[in-house]
Amino acid sequence: MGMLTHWSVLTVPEVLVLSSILAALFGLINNEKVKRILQMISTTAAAAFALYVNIGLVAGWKSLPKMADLKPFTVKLTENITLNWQYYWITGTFAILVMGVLMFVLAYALETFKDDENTTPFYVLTPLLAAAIYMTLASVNLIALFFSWELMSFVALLMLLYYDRTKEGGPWLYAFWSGIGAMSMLAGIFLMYLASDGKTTFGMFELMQTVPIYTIKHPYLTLAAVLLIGVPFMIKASVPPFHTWAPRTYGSTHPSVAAFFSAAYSKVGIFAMLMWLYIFVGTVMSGKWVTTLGANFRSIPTAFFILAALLAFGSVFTSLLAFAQKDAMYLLAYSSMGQLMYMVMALVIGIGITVGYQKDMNIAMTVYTLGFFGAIYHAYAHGVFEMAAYMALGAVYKRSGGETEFNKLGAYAHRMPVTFFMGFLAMLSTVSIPMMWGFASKYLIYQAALYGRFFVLSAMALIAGTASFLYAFRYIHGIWWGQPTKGYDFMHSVREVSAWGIIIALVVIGLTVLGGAMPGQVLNFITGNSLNQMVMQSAMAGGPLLIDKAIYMVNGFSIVHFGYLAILFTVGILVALLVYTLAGGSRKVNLDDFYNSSEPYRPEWQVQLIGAFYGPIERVIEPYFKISIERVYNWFGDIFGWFASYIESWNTGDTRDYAWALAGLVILLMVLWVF
Amino acid sequence: MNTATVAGAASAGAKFLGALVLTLKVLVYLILMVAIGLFLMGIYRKFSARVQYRVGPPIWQPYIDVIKLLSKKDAATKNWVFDLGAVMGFGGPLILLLFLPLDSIVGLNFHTKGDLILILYLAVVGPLGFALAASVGASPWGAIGVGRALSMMLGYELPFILGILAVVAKDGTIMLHKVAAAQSIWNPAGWHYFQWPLILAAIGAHIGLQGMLSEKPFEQSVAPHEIGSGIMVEFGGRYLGMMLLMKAASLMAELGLFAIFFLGATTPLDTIIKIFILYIIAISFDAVLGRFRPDQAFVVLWKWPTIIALLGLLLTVFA
Amino acid sequence: MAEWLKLIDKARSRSIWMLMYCTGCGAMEMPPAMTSRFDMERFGIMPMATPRQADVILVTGYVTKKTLKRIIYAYEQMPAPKWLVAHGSCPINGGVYWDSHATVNRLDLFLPVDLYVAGCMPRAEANMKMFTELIDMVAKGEARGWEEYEKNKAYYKENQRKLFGYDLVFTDGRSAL
Repeated sequence: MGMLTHWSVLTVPEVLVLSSILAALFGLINNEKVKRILQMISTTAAAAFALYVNIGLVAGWKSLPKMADLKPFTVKLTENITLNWQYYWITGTFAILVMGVLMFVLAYALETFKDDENTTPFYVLTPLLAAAIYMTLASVNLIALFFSWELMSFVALLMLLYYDRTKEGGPWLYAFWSGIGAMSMLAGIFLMYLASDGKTTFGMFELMQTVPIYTIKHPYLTLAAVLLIGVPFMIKASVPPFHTWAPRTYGSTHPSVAAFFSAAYSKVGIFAMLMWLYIFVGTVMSGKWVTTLGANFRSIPTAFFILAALLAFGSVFTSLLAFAQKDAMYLLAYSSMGQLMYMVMALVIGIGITVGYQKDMNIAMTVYTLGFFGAIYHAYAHGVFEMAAYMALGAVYKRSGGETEFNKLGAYAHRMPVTFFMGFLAMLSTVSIPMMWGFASKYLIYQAALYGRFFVLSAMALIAGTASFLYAFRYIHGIWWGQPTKGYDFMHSVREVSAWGIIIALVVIGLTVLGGAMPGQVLNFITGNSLNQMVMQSAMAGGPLLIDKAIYMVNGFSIVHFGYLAILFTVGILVALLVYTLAGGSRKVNLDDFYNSSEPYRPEWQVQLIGAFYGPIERVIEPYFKISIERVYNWFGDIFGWFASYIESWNTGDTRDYAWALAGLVILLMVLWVF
Repeated sequence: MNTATVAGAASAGAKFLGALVLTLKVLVYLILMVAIGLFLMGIYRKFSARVQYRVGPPIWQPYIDVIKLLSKKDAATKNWVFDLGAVMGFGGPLILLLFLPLDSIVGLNFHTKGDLILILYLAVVGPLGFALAASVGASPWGAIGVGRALSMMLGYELPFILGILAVVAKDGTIMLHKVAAAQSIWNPAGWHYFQWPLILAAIGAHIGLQGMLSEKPFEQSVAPHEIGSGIMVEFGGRYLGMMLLMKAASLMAELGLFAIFFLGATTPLDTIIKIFILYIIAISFDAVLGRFRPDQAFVVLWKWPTIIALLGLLLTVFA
Repeated sequence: MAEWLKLIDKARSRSIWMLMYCTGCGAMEMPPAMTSRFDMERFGIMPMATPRQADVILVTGYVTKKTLKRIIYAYEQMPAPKWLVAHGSCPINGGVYWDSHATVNRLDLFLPVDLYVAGCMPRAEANMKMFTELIDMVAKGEARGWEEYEKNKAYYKENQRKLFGYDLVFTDGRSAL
C-alpha cells in the first residue's frame, strides 16, 4: 500500500476531474504545439488512470486500496442527505470510454477545424464537459447526480451555442429539452422526498433497495417520482418519445463536437438508464401492484416490454430516416440515435427479464448477463465507430470548406485514403460486419433478445441492422467515392491529414478490429474482470453461458467462435485473392476512367446522383414518417401559445380591473373556507 | 538425436500434414460448392431458354463464361480499392460457405463454430464488397444499382427474418445443424415447411428468398436495359468473373440456409438435392414473371409475405 | 501451356458477349438472331449492357463523325481480347450514305475490324454465319484485331486526329484522382 498513500488525500473522481480541468486549462495556451502536447499528456494520463483503476481495483491489485476502502468525495447537505461522488466499476467502465474518446477527439480536432474557425472554445470546453461527465458518472447520490447533470448540460449547451454550424436552432432545442429534463428531475426528487415521508437519503444504491418499500405505502407517488426522475435520462439516451431533440442538435453542430457528443456524452444517458432501470425495477416489482391491480396483472413484463418495443420501433424508424438524409451530419446523428436505442433496448431486456421471466432463473440470468454486457460493449463499439465516422467526416469538412451535404461532396477517398479507411471501417462496424467491434457487441444484444424469446423485437433489431447498410453505403459513396463535385483542380489541392492524424486513424482502425477479433478479452478488460465474475456466477447457478477470450456461447442455443471466424475470414479472403491474382491482369490505358457516357470527364457534364438513388424507397416510406412525435410537441406548444394569447386578450390595460379580480378571488376563497 | 526430438519432429510433421490436409479439404469444398452453384446457373439458362421456346446454351455455359472472363485483361485502371472491393465481394460468400453445415461433405465441422446471426451478417460481406467497388467505379448507374439492391435487401430481409425466427422460436436454437436435426430428412411431414403454423412463416420466407436470389419479380438491381446492369456496370473481365463466382457461392449459401431451416436438409447430399428443387421453383417463377418497379417491390415485400410470416411467428410463439 | 491457351481460346469462342452499337437499320436484324428462330445463345452469345462486359462490338449501321467518337471510347473500355465487326455496307464503305458530309465511309481506318458482313442489310442468316465465322476465328486464335490496334496505335490515332481535328483521348496523365 505504500506507494499510493496519497490516496487518502485524493479520491479517484477528484483525480479524473482535476486532470480534465487541467487539460481544459492547457487548452487556453496560445502555442498550438505546446497546447496539443500538454493536452495529449493530460488526457492520455486520465484515460490510462481510469483503465488502471478499473482493472486494478476489481482484480484487487496490491498497489491499490480495496474497493470498499475507497473514499468518496463528499459534501454534507443536511443532517440526512450527503452529496457524494464515488468510484465503482460501472463508473470506471464508462470513464474509460469518455476519457479515451476525449483523448482521440482532442488530438484529431486540428484536422477538422477550418482555418477561420476559433478552436479555443473547443479545446477548453470539451475537457470541461468530460470532467462534468465524469462527475455525473461518479455520483452515487441523486442530488449530486442532479447537480453534475445540470453542470454537464450547461457546458454542452455552451459548446453547441458556440459551434452552431447550420443556425437551425439546434442548441435551443437542446436547451429546451435539458430544461424539461431538469425540471422533471427536480419534481421527481421532490415527489420521492414526499413518498419516503422525508426519510430518504437519495443514495442511488439505497434507492434501489428502498423504493420497493416506499411503493407499498405510496404506490402512485413513488411510481410518478421514479418516472419523473427518469425523464432526463431518457432524453439523453434519446429513448422515444423523448428523442426529438437529437438529430437537429447533433446534426447542426461541428463534426468534432458531434463526435464527442455522440461517442462520449450520449453514453451518460446509457449509464443513467442503467442505474435508473434498477430503481424502476424496484417500483414496478413491488407486490403492492398485485394487490392494487389484481393478481393477473403482470406489471413488470408489461412495462418493460412496452419500453423495449418502443425502442425497437424507434431504432427501425431512425435507421430508415438516416438513409433518407441529404446531409452527412444528420445521417450520422440518426444513426447514432438508432444505436443508442439498441443499447437501451438491451438493458431493458436484460434487466427486465431478471424480474419478469421467472420461469427459468438460468435463462433469466443468462439473458441478464448478455443484455447488460451487450449494452456496455455496444456503448464502446458505438463510441469508437461513431467517433471515427464523425472524425473522418470532419477531416473532409475542413478540406471541402465546410461542406457536409452529400451532393457537394464525393471522391475524397482518392486523396485521403487513410481517412477513408477510418470512415469505412467505422461503417463496417456500424453495420456489424463480422470481425468488427460492432458485430461482437450487437451479437450479444441479438443473443439476449433471441434467448429471452423476444422474437418480434429481434426481428425489429435485425431490420434496423439491415437499414443501417443503406445509410452506411450513402456515407461511403456520398463522401468518399462517386464523382468529384468540385472538379479535378480542386480535388488535386486536397491533402491527406497530417502524420499525427494518420497515426490516430490507424489506432482507431486497430481498435475497431481488436474489439471484434477478441471480444471476450476486450470486454473483460474494460469492465475490470466483472464479466468473468458474472459468467462464473451464471455457471455456478447452472447457467449455460460462456463468454471466453474469443468465444460467445450459450449452450445449445448459439455459439460464435471468433478465433475460427478470424481464420476462416482470412481463408475466404485469401482464396478470393488467389483467384484474383491468377486471373488475367489489368492493362493501363490512357483514358480518363470515370463513367462519363463514353466521354472524357469534363466538369459541366458530371452526373451526381447521390441525392436520388434511394428515391423510390424514400417515396414509399415518406407517408409513414408524417406521423412525427415532434409535431405532437409542436401542437402542444401551439395550444400553449393560443392559451397564452387568449389570456393576453383579457388585458384591458387598466390596473384597477386586476385589483377587482384579485379582491373577488380573495372573497371567493374566504367564502369557500367558511363553508 | 534423441527420441524426444524425433517424436517432436514427427509430431511437427504430422501437424504440418494435418494443416495441409485441412487446407486441401477447404479448397476442395469451396471449389465443389462454387462448381455446383455454377451448374445451377447453367440450369437456369437452359431452363429459361426452353420456356422461351429456344434451344438454349449448353448446361456448362457458366463454366465457359467464368473461364473466359477470368482470362480477360481489363482496360480499367481504377483505384486499388476497386480491386479490394472485388476481393471482399468474392471472399464474403466463401467465408459464409465455410460456416454452413454443407461442409461436412469433406469432413469439416466449422459449422459448429458459428450460428444464424453470424451467417446472416456474413451474407452481406460479399454484396457490400461489390457495392464498394461499384461506388469506386463512380458510375451513376452503379450507384443506382447498389441503391436498388440495398432497398431490395431491406425489403426481403423482413419476411425472411420473421420466417426464420419462427423456426428459432419452435426449435429453441440458432445453430444450423441443430435446426436441421430437429426435422426429418425425407419425410415432408417432418419438415418445418409443412407444419402448422410454421408453414405460414415458410411461405413468407420463401417469397423473401425470391428477393434474396434477385430473381424476377424482384430483379431490379440488375436491370440491363434500364440502368446498364446496375452494380456490374463498371465490372468487366476478372471482376465480372469473380462476381459470377460470388453469385454461384451465394446461391448455394442462400438456398442452403432456406433448405436447412424449412426442408430438413441435414446431410450434404440431401441439402444439395433440396437446393436443386428450391432453385427450380425459384427459376420457374422467374421465367414467367415480369419485374416490379423498385418501390412496388418494396411495398409488396413489406406487405404480404411480411404479414404471412409475422402471423406464422406469432402463432408459433403464442400457441 | 499451349494446350491451356487453346482451352482458353476455345472458352472465349464459346462465350462471346456482344455490345450492339445500333446506329442504323442493322439493329432490326438482331432480334431474330437472338430469339427462338435462330437462338444465338446456343453458341453462348449474349447481348451485354456495357462495354466493360463485352467481347465483341457490332457496328450495325452508318458511322458518323459524332458516333465514331463513342464507338472508339466504347472499344477502348472493352477488356482485351476484343473484336469489332463491321456489320452491313455502311461501316464498310459508306453504303447508301457514301456521299454524306457527316458519315465516315471506312470504319477500318480508325479501328481494327475483325470481320466484315456485307449486305444492306445482312439478314439474320448472314448474322448467324458471321457469328459462326467469328467463333471459328476466335477458337483458332485468328481474330487479333485488338493486338493490331495496340501495335499500330500511331496509325489509328493519326487517322482519328485527322478526322476530328484533335486528340480524342485525354493524355494528360490524370487518369485517376
